Amino acid sequence: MGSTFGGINMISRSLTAHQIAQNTVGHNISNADTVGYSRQIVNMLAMTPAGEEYGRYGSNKVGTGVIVGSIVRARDFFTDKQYWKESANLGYLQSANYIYGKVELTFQEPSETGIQSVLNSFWTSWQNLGTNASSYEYRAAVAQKGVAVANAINVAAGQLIDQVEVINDSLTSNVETVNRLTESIEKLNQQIAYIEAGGHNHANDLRDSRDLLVDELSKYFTLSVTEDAKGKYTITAATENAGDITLVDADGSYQLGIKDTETDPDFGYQLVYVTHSSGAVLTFTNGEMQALVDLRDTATAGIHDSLSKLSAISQYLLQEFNEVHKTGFGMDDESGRNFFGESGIDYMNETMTLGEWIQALKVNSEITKSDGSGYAYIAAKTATNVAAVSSVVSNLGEGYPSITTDGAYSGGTVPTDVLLRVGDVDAATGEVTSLQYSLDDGDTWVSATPSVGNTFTFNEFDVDVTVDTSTMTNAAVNNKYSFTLGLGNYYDGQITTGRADGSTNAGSGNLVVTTSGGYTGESTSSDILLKIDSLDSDGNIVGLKYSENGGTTWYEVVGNSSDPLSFIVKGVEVKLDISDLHNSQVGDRYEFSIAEGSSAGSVSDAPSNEGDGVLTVDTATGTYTGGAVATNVLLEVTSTGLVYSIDGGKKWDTVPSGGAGPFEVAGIEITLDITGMSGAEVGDRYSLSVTAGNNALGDNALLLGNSLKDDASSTLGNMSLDSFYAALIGALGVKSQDSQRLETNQQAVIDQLYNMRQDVSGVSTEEELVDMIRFQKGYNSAARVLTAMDEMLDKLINGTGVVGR
Amino acid sequence: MRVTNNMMFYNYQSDLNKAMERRYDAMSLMDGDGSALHKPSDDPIKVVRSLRYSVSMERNLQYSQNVEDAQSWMENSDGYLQSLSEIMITIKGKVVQASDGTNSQEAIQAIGAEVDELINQIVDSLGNAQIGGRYLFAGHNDTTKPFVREGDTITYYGDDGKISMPIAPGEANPGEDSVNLTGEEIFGKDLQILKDLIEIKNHLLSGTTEDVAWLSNVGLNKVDAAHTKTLQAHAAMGARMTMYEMSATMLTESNTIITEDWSRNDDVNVTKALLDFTNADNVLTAALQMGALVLPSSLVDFI
Repeated sequence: MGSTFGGINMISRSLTAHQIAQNTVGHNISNADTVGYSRQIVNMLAMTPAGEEYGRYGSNKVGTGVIVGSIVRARDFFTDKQYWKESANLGYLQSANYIYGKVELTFQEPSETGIQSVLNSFWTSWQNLGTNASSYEYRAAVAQKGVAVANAINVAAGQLIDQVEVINDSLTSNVETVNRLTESIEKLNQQIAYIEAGGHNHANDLRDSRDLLVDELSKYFTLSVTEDAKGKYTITAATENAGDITLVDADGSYQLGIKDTETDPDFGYQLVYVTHSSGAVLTFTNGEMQALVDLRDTATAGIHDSLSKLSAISQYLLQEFNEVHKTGFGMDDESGRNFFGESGIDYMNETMTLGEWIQALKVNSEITKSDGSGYAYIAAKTATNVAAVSSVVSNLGEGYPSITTDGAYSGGTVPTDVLLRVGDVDAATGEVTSLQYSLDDGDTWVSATPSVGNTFTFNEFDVDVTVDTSTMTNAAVNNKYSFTLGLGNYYDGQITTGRADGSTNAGSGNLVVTTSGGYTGESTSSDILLKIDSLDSDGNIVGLKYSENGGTTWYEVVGNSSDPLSFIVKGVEVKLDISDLHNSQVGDRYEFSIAEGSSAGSVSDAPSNEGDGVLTVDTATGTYTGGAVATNVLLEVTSTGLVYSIDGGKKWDTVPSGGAGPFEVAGIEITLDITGMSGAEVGDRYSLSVTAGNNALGDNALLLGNSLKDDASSTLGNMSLDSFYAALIGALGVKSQDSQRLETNQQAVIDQLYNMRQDVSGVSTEEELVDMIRFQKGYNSAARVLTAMDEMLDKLINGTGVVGR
Repeated sequence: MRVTNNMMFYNYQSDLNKAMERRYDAMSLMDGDGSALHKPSDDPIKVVRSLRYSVSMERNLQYSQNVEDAQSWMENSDGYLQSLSEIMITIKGKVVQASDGTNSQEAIQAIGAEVDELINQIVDSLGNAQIGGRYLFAGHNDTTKPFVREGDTITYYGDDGKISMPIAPGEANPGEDSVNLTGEEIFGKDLQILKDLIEIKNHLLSGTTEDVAWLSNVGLNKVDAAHTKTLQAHAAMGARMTMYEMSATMLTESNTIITEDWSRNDDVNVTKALLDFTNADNVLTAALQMGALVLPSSLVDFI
């Protein structure tokens, strides 16, 4: 039988229980938005019955009300474990995506500023050079576009290496975060074990905090979490190389460390690794940190991969592109220069790390010299401009034979060139003793018949030709002269030294006279005397005078606007060519006569160097400074070697090294190959002309363009540069896209798990409000019962025992 | 299944976010450069194709440029060869005039002086003609004045190099893609034509009966031969010009095709993008309305 006031006790417990339940509703509603909060549930239990009430059928148990059995959190450990496992994967993919995004940004493809368009415009600049190879503007463009290519690749590589530093920093701070998290978890482990020392787990809010920390931790690695009997978590992270490593266990937490002493062997940047407390480097199976390491170090994806590809491009440009450039010649006719890199390095035989290839990629500083002179070194052509040397009319001795003819030319309208050759010379007197002639340019020679004095005769085309050699002095065997037989009226152009006293002129060389116009002097010839009147300080002839009357009256040669060295005598315009005269002195005189000429015409020297063989230009290098006009170089054999003249024979300079050179003409350094000459004699002359060179040849520029677009290379995986780059971008895109897709999928998995967790642990305000009403009603009802009980006791106490009063 | 507040808000928020993302994507397709491709992962295959198209386009534009340069070069050359032909005809006329036996020696000599001037014109105005600072008829030696006349000697400082203006990938192939005529191609080996003209001029300047005979027999033949030779050079250039014109047409056509393909590959389909955007916008609006309607309602409003 229960006590009189037992009911009040019971109601009091009921009120307390409902109050606790209402407080929990309040707690739940208050924390509805708290991250990691699990809703709490008050488990109410009926009290163990206290007394017995004997009834008809024996004793009955009388209920004694309610008691709060436990307050637990609604939590599904299984879902948590799943969440913690999947979270690492999401962490990996998010990190990977972030880095892929950065790498993609680095390449900026497709756009008009990416490496592809820089490569395109580099190619274009070569094409333009190919068709305008002699232009400095297009050369400058090639150099600048080359700089742009080198910059684009170096900037991209630099950005990728910056990204490595970001990754290293992230790893360091991640490790700090992880260590802080594991420490906190360890502390919570201790607190929870302390609070739950009694047995059942009721450290609800502490557990929520701990689970939240594990949530955070779970994106760094694949976690496996177990709970021991004391409620402590043991957390391990899965690694590839060290099995499951313990981060937290019942005894404490284990700190991860950082190893930052290594550098990348290929690119030299610092490598930060995550290490175990033992110091061993860890490779995790998943999670944010492993994503960072993977995208930094993996050879087939991410930053290292992209850098390797850039390095391959750099290596290709430094090796094979340079090889093509080296086979070509610059405007100065030098070959073997590098376009990229530095001069003098044979990149084909260089061993460099991947990073060094990228660093070495720059346009050769010789080409980009600030004064622009290096643009000439760009090798646009595959052939040099070696000047050809030709023999020069240069008979030994002076004077010409004089020709007289008799008879009508029967050779028709076509004139015939006659070549004369000195066959023999009397050593004592110097007189010509034998003369030959040829009508076929020297293939066959016929001896002319010696006649009186030093004359020789022959008859061809019905013309009797008399050759008077007495006008010649010091003639040498094989001296050749030519004249033309034919119809027509010619003027005699032979020159003699015109000194009255018979002394010789100071200067040497031939004065060449050409005449035009009709001679009005009838059959009498006119002797014209010329004299050098004045010289300038360099020895150039600046004044000439002529006389028609043997030197009595002198007239200045004033010429006309088109030819300053001309004058008119008896209807004949006489033009003087003094280019062959050299070392002339004032007073040097020359004499010639004009008359109605013979059909034999004038005699001129025929090519007749004594020596055989050829004189060739071995090398001619340098940049021509003579502008658009060619410079003629005259070479003459002297007793000590070769001398050269660039002013037509006025001033002579010695060719060094016994005639091989080098000597410099208008910026071009010339060396001669004299080994092909034989039997050369003093006075033999050769000429060559020096010009800016055959710089319009742009075939090598086109080859260089091809090597940018079409040529496959083993350095580039047997692809062309464009294909290689497209493949690089394509692979990057596929990997990044793949990673984005996986992230989306993984996010869906995580969302699903989140919902599953919320399904169990989440606070529903509706539900709580219902509970609130429920517990309120319960409380109110209990209070009502208490009132009834109070009334009952009041009746008992105050209303009984007054009968009969 | 319990539906809890956070779940509702979380899901609503993530759905709303997705709807906004879709709308943003649809919008970003339409803004800016009209290109649907902004990074490799947007569509790797299309991006690679886009790179290929950019290479093809660059080639096409460059070869078109080469064709233009080549045409300009050859049209210029053509003009000068036309003038050369006219001068040849003039010289022939002069020679015919001089050799018809009705002229005095002085008159013939005067003609000789005219021909001399015409030779100067051939050498200076035609032979040394330039385009953009480059001598047209100097072979590869195009920055050196190719023809220098000193008296009766005319020296050629050019070479026999052909200038290639390629219209297709590969090495320079002067047999197919060269655009220039060299001095020797126009004036013959060793500038024989010019030598002949000088000889004719000398005969004219002399002007005797024998000279007239020579002119009518040999001189006229030489002028004709010279004219024929220059016409041959002219005709060869004409054929090359026709080829380049065909290439120009071809390149223009392929330019159109590449442009179309490239734009089809890269560009946003505006109609589709607009529809996508409208759709995404509607979804977002609906989601917002739904959120506004559903989320605020709670039991708390009724107790």
